[in-house]
Amino acid sequence: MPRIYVFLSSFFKYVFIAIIYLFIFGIMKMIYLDIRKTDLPRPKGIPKGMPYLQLITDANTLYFEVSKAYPLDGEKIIIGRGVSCDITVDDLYLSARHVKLWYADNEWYIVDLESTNGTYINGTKMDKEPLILDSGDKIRIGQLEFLVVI
Amino acid sequence: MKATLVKKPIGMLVLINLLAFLLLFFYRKPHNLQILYVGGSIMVLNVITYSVIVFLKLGDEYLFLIASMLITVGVVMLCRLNYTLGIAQVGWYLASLGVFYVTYIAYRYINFWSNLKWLYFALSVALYILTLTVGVTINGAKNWIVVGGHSFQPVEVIKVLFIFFLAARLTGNNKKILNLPENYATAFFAFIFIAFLLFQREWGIMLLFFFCYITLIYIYDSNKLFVALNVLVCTVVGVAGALTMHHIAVRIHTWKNPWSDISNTGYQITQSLFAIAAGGFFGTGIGMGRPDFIPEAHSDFIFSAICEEMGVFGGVAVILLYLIFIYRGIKIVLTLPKGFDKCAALGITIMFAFQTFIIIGGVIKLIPLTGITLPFISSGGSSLVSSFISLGVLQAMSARGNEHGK
Repeated sequence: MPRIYVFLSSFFKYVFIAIIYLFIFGIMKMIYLDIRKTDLPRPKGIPKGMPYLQLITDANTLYFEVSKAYPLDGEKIIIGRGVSCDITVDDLYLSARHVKLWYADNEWYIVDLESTNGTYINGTKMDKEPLILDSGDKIRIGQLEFLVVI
Repeated sequence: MKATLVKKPIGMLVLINLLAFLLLFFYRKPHNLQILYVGGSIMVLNVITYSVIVFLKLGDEYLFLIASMLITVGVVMLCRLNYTLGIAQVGWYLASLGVFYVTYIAYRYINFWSNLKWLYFALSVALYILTLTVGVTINGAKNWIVVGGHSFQPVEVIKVLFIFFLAARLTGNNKKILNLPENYATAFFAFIFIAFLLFQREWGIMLLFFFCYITLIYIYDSNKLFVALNVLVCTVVGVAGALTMHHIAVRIHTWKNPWSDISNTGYQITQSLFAIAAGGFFGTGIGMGRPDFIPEAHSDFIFSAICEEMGVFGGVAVILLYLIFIYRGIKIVLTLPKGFDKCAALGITIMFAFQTFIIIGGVIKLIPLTGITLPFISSGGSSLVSSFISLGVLQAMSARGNEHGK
């Protein structure tokens, strides 16, 4: 075997490994950016700048009608099973008037309306005191889980 | 512009194509220009297909990118081992890309695939019977059909049909057969698929079918007792096989102690281990090891050859490539709506995963060795075409998944 080839091959083995790992790194980076970008697409029918609740629960697993997103349009929103609510969802685990969200002093507040099964914010059951909502908070009521996007 | 191209993965792919085949050109005297043609055509095929996928928006762009890197590594290794095998592989790659586009279009725009379950079954049984009657025995397994000088393995097509059949059974409406509960009828037909492999002595594919079947019913069947029963049946069949079949007993023995009969039954696996050990971390360099000592270095044992000449780091890179490939597959499965598509995409992804695990685990003596090919890397037309059929289906599904997500 020519000596020049021995030299080239011994040198290029490091180059090849470096390139393959850079390739893998490049793909992982692209995938990572891709995930971040597609993480929170604004749902159809929600105007730009409008705060909204996005359903995280897989709607296919639920037996009742539910939208993928609800705009927080207005000063005060009540969610529940009763028809008089602003957002009505026919989930048996919801109370007739389950939870109230309202807008005051540049903040969205949430309070549980003494519902039977309670309201969970980021996995913790909330008590009677109202809480301030931030973008990215998760609200769980009945079988539904919503992501707050403000 | 140029700087960004080099930083992108496709730039890396082009770079490794250029360097590796230039190096191989100088490997043997007299210099063979064909090596450069092989390298050039691989590069052109990779770049064209990748551009088509990106610019015509044919869904996920990473799947093909990863597959083409695996193919490049495979062809470099094959050209180093044997020119003719490398050249044949490029020919098969071209044919497979044709199959890939056809599968993509057929799957993307025609929507009756979930209704054809009995066609899949009938076709598979026909292929099995064809193999058993006119098949030729190569390397101890009667699984080849020779047509006009070309030999191919029908079982590679049956793999895809098996997944489609299972997906159709598990997600569709089934008519009752002989008053059997649906899942028991599915199990019956799945075991027919597997039983035919017994006659062909295809232990590797048999294991692969067992794994895919158990995984799919574990995911799709809510009856835990039924799943447990299936696992039990598979275990009993496996243990009974190991106790009664001489071939399997030998494989398990050589797995436990290949050194006791190193010149005969343990020869393959010990040569494979010697090769991996000789490579060390960075390998000997392409063309400087002796992978020709390993039997079947071009097909089943190509992973050992890669480890010898590109080192443990090269081998781990190959495993990582499969890992992100399967990750992308699962990601596509998650975007699909419930139904046949989701199940078939899942089946195809786990089939890639288990196939890679079975053969890499076999050659590094992690599990008993069973001869199946390493997807996209091993030499062989049937394996490559079958992998590209699966890839085409996954690609079409990723495009559908994108539509569904919007």
